[in-house]
Amino acid sequence: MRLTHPDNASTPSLPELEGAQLYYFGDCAIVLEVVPEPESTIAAPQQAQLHIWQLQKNLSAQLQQSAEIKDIVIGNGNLTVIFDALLADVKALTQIIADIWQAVATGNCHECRAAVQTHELSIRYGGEFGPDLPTVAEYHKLTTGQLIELHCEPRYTVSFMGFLPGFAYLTGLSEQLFTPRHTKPRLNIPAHSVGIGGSQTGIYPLASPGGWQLIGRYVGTAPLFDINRQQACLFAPGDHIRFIPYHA
Amino acid sequence: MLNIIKAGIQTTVQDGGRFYVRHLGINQNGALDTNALTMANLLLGNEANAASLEIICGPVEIQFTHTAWFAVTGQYFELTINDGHGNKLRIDPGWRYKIQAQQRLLIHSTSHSGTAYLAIAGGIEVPPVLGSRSTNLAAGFGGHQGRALQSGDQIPCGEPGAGQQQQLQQTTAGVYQSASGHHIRAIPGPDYALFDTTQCELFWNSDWQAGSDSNRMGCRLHGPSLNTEQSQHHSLLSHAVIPGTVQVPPNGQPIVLLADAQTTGGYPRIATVISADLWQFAQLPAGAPFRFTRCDRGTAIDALKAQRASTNRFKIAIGSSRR
Repeated sequence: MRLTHPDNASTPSLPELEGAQLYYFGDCAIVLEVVPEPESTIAAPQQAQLHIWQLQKNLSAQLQQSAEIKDIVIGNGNLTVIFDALLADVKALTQIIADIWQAVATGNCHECRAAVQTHELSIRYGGEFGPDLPTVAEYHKLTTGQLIELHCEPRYTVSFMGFLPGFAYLTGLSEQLFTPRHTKPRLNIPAHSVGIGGSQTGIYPLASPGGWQLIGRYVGTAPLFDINRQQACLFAPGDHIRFIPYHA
Repeated sequence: MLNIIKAGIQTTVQDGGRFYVRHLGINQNGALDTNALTMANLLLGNEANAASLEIICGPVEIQFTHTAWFAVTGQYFELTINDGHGNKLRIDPGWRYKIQAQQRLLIHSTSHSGTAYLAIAGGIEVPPVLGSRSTNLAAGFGGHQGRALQSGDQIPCGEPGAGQQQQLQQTTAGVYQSASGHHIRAIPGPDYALFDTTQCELFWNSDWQAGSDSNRMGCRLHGPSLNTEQSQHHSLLSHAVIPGTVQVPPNGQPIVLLADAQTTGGYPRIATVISADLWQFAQLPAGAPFRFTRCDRGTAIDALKAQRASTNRFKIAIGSSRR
């Protein structure tokens, strides 16, 4: 149930928004979700996600010094603000979110594209680096060469970060490569493995258990996640990614 | 310095957690029972969120290289000080004690044990990473070398200030240990409407148990299946999740997300445990049944206020010289 109406003084009514809905999540978070929900459940339309990026950027800039804000997290067509439930002035906070959303949704989003990077990632496909490559190819009635071509063709976009430190949710995978996850996940996938899971593709930044089909491994020198690096995550929302097959 | 003689199973350095990093996919870590952490620290005059050792399963044996004040919170742990001359002194959780250099502290679990916190006056002083001393096991950073403690580890401790030392000498002090209850309050979640009446009733009116496959990422509940055809096939757009989120994956068995849970998810959120009750998942005895009690956000806020008031009263009572 999307809680939007007040139930007592500590839970003020949430402002109405154009093109989005605000709702409470637990006692210490508020979510802004783009509406109407897109017909496809794979990804929010590109325009909606552009607005979400801009909202995150502007909101972070405005709230960064506030002690009561604990996190601002974006997802697929949504943004969540997590706060100290006793310190935060929820009414003021939701008004800030509403005002910034209003500006973002009606303005243009060219500014948020300025800092976007394109990453060309060297991927070693198949063999010990991509043990599932042959079975995925067979599943789609393709040769491994054709599969690699289809995987490398798009310019992917980083939609948001989550799941693991440095993990980027990407949009752009060809429908021809949608592959079900393993029914029994592997206990340990090597760091930098490239996989396909359902309608998604991505790279595991760390060793992790997981159920994705492993088709290759990123062999570039810059780790996807490095706690000692100035920018710990290699990718940021809005960045573009291209996969380049590595030839020994 | 603490010499770890026996490390126990998954003993980690944890403080109040790290924040403003979820947008990088970094989870908040930190103590599973922030109440117990606070109590242990305040007993010693530390900052409420100072780093301590979180102990999930003993036996843990620690030799102190210097005289130090310490406190252990968390119910149903057996504590002993071994003076190295064959003398063993049984002590109680929830009290502060002074231990002499070269003496050893032994912490044993019982069948009812939950999670214990060992705080040292002056705090555990591992290097902070991204603003916190908590251990991030997934990415292997923070805490002590980003991992659980092992036999042979040496853990550095801070020095209590002069005012703090004086306070410690003046009185003995202890605190009543809260036991986890049989009812845990939760607010219906954003995806509550995806579950039909029968499933919702099952959620609120069934006995749930914490499975042995639970860990710092989440408490996996065993109980009736909440798997409606509708909820099984509904795929949600990925969204942020927070500790306390109760997800229902395709197998119909709910998971309550805890401090080490990943930052985003796509499973339906049937409910969110209120912040004031989240600590209970750290102290549930294995196999003990509990129920969820439905409440609204207003009740959740009142519960937080009550908790904070209680902490403030305790601070005053103990005469802590530092916040």
